[in-house]
Formats: sequence, structure tokens, C-alpha cells
Amino acid sequence: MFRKLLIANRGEIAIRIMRTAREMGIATVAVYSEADRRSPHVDAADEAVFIGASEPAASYLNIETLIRAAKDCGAEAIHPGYGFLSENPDFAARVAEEGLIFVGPSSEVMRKLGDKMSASAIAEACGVPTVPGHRETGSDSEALLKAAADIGFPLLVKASAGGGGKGMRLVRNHDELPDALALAAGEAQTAFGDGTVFLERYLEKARHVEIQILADTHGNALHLNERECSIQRRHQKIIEETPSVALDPDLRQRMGEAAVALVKGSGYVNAGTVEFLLDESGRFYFLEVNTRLQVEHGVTELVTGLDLVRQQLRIAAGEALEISQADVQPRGHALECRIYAEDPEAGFMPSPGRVLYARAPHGPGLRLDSGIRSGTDVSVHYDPILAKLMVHAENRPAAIARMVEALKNCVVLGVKTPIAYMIDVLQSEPFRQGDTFTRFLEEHFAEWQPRSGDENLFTAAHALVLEMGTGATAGIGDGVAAESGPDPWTRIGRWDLIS
Amino acid sequence: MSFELEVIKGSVEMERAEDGLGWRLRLDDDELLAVPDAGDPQRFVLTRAGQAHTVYAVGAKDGVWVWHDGTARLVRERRAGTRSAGGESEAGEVTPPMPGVVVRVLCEPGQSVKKGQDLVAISAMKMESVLKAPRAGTVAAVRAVVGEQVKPGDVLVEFEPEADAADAKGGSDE
Repeated sequence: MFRKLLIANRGEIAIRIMRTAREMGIATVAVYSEADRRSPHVDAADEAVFIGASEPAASYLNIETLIRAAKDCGAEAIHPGYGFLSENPDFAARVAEEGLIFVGPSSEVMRKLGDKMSASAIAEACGVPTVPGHRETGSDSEALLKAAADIGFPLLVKASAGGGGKGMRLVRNHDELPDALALAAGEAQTAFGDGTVFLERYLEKARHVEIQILADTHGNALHLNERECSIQRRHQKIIEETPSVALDPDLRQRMGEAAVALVKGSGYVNAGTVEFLLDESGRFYFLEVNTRLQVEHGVTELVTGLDLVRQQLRIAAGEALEISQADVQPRGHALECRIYAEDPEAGFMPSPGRVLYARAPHGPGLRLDSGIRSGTDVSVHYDPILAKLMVHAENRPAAIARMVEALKNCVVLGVKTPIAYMIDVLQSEPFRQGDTFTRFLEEHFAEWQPRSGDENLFTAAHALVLEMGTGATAGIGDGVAAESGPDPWTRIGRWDLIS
Repeated sequence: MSFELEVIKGSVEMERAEDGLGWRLRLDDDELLAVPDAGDPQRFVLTRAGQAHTVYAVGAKDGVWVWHDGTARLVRERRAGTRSAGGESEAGEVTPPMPGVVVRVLCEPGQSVKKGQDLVAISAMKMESVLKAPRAGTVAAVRAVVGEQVKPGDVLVEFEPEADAADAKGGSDE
């Protein structure tokens, strides 16, 4: 096992990776940009290296700077986390070239699976079903128009290099297609530098179900069952759970085997996720492979009892998996709610600013992976994820009830969060029934408004703060601390409030 | 319900609890006992009729952020009708900052008033105070009656602010 690991990321995921590395006796190195000088992930590491300006391109996306940081501090391995460079094959290649270990698959496999069209081709070759569509490179719009008639409407125009809904268009009929092709290609060209688009049948009511896999360098591969991530806003997950109510043991086994077949067929090594769409008739279709640790990996950890980061580091160091498929025996039900700084009343627009106060909920079966503390500034430069709240309980109703109570006590003040929104989603009848699908929030919660609360309690709290003086809150509440250097009251005593 | 909650200055009566460990608060006919958490200055337990509610509150530049039961709101003071009204009030209503008795009515419907002009005098705690126009406008209705008991939230005078005095609802955060 290597002795020193650089984490090329920030926020909650950097801290989460550092926790396991420390448990394994591996020294940790954080990197930080200008905006992150005071961020909790910097303090969570054994050492920290400054990597440049706040803009991601100058720091967290700067391959050469990161490699130099690793070399300079004697790190032997780099963990990319999720986002940033985690799925960038050029980064994985450069890390390997420098004789460092990249915690993830090889750059070749990442490149093959990163392109949606070639990933689908690999899936088909491995016998994994794909969504009916037209995925031929070099297709001109004439060929696409002709193919569309065979696929049928509605269909999706998707960017081959795409992700996060960019370069994607829903087309209801033939007349809309030419415009949609041009728009999607233009958007993809701008966003990814590659305007290649393809066509796929649109599944009206589908669940997002993904299979977590592990594969080592000794040819062993297994899956850790599914996560359902159908609750999405703007094509991005916000609530995830395992198991999915839509899978019976037979379907679970078939999806798991399909994922393992794809992993073995593509030569994939390390932890990864194979994403599928599952339609109402129980048919599943390959969507894509995420060649990294997922944001929502924690729910799998809760039910399986495995530490996925530990598995990743062991695999990266060349060790063989110690478990077999038969050892994977998940227990109970786990849920995750992502706590973003965003405004559910304004289309989930980011809500940057200073976290004036943050406090973690406590109780049986709770886990909070957090990247903030009271006083943390939420920068406009990065993904506004603050923390991930996870619960584990014996069954789904108990997990939902546990999550609702945990959210009520997951205090975040100073920036807006969707906590009240997620409480309402969890308590809604369709969610409780497990009638979840990727358009769930658009269908049921587009017009969401907060419930009216007990106004006198808010008014009383206001009066108490004014009466008792601002002394207790001045350090972080008046916005002065960051500009005027460390204020002892913001540094001392607030450290353990959330994490 | 909106994210921002406006409260009227002085609408809460506060006094030290007998044991000195907390505060008694009165909002209209609602009575609460508030006990701060000595280990966490942002945490308060509010008890009403034997039922405890935990709230978290922190002061910010633009108000007080308050958390209860999963909901965060920004609570700000509304200064309508107070003598020291800094002119930033957008309210079209004048209400007393504290409970009292109306002693004089100094305006009538249809009258146009200047900012700061006296509208109603009330007496509270043996002190007389005058509610003034928070901005220039026209008196639309006078609800105050001499000799009547009034409390915060009671609208004593409605008036229409001059044009372009539109609601300048600020963003909740930068």
C-alpha cells in the first residue's frame, strides 16, 4: 500500500476520502484554491498545497499543477474524487506517465467509456441492452432524420460527449427534429468541444437505477447491488436510495450480471457505476458508466457495510478483492439527501454566500458527509453541494421517517437549501408508495411552496437574538471575519458543529 | 408562506423568567418560555403550554436567520410608524410598535401627508408616542379610534405611498 495520497478535489468528498485514508495509515494531502484557503477540507488533511486562483481551470482542473503538487510533496497516488478531473482520461494518463497511481480505471478504459456512443457499442458487444436508437459516428442530418423514423417519437437527441443534460433535446415529432439537431449539436460543441449527436428512444416513465461495481487487477469483479436515483431536478440527482422498490431478486441479479459483464468486457478496474434506465415493464437499458466514485456511494456503504474508498485504495495498490459476490449481503434500507446551497423556490438556482450557522443532526442510523462548518463561504466557483445526509434503517418506511426527522435537525442558516422541499418530497404519497421516476419532481413538485410554519416561533427567535445582542454572532454574522483575518471566536469552538 | 418574514418592532414583550435562566415572551395572546443553550448561543428551546420547540437563530446583515423544524426563514424588522423610522419602510399601513391606547387622531382620509408627518398618537406605559408617516403619500383610511386599546399588527392608518415607492423587496442573500 502507498504511504501518501493527494486528493485532487475539495469539499465533502475530499474530507470523506481523507477519513478512510487516515484509518488506513495513509498520509493525506489536500489541494486548495484561493477561494478555499479557509475551507474545512484543507484542515482535514495532514498537509495542504495551494494550487492557484479560484477559477477551476486555474486550480482544480489544472492537470500540470496537480501533478507538480503531488510530486513536490512526495505523494505516491492521486484520488480524483468526483467531478473536476475524475473522468478526464488525459489526467489519468498524465498521472500514470509520472509514475504515480491514479485511483480509478486506466485512461484507455475511461476514454472508451466516457464517450456515450462508444460506451453503448461496448455494452452491446457485452450483451447489455441499450435504449433503441441510432448511434453511428459520421451520421449527417439526413441519415439522422431517416433513422428517427425507425426509432419513432418521442425521442431524445443526445450529445456523445454530453452530461448533465447539456446537448440534450426531447423531440416529440418529426417537424421538431431538424431544429433540435442543430441546437443540440451547437450546445455540445460549445460545452464539450464535440458536436457529435445521436438519437435514442425516449422512455416516458423510467426509473434511474444504477449498479455499483468493484473490479481488481487480478480479474475479479463483483457488484454491490443497485441504487435508485430517480428523484432529480435539472437532470441531477437529489435523493437516492437502496434498494430500489422496483427490483425483485431476479431483476437485481440480471442487472448486476449485466453490469459485471460490461466491466469484464471493457477491462474496467476499480470502483465504478453502471447506470441504467428501467421502464415500467421491468426492461432495463444501459445508459452510461461513471468511471469514478459516485456522489451517492454512501448509501451502498450503509447497507453493505463496505467502505468503497478503502476498496478503491486497495485495488489501486494492486491488492485483490477480499470479498466474493456471495459475501455481498445488504441489510436494511438507506436513503441520501443532497444538501445544496440552492433555492427550491427559484428553479434551484445556486444560493452562494456565507454559512452563518451549521449543525449536524444526531441519532441512530445517521451519517452526514459535510464540507462546511459555521462560517464557511460557499463560493460561486464550484458545485454548491454542502453536505450529504444519509440514513440507514431496517426498511424503507423507517428510513423515510428517520430521514425526515434528521432533515428537520440538519440546521443550515445563511444560505438557502432544499431541506424543507425534500422533507415534503419524502412525505408525499407517491414517494412513500415508491412510484418514482425521473420526471417525478417536474410532475409532482413543480409548483412547490413552503408550508406555513409556526410564525410566532420565528418572531420570538428574532426578538431573542436582538435582545441578547449580536455578540455571539458578530464574528460570522457581520461578514467582517473573512476580510479582517482570523477572529478567534470564529475559529475556536465552531470547529465541531458540523462534520 | 414566503422565505422572508417581516415582524413589527416591539411586537414581542420580553421579561426575564423568575429563575433567571430564560425569558418569558408574549406575542399577542401567545406565551412562550425561552431557554437559551449555554453551550450554543444560536440554539433556543421555546416552550408553549408544556410543548418544547427547538429553534436556531443567527443575526445577519439583513435580518435574523431562524430555523425551525426544517424550515429556514429570514426574519426582518418592519419599522412602520415608529418615530425613528429611517424612511426605508415600504409599508402602506401604520401600526403601533407596542400595545397602547389611542389618544389622538391627527389625519383624515384623503389627506396627503409628507414623510414624517404625525398621524396618530398613542399612549403606552405612561408615555405618549406619535406614529408618523413612513413616507409621503395619501391617507386611504383611518381605523384608529380615540380611547381604544391597540397592539402591534393592528392597522391604525392605511395610506398609499407615492408612486415609485414600490416594494423594493431585496434579495435574501447576495
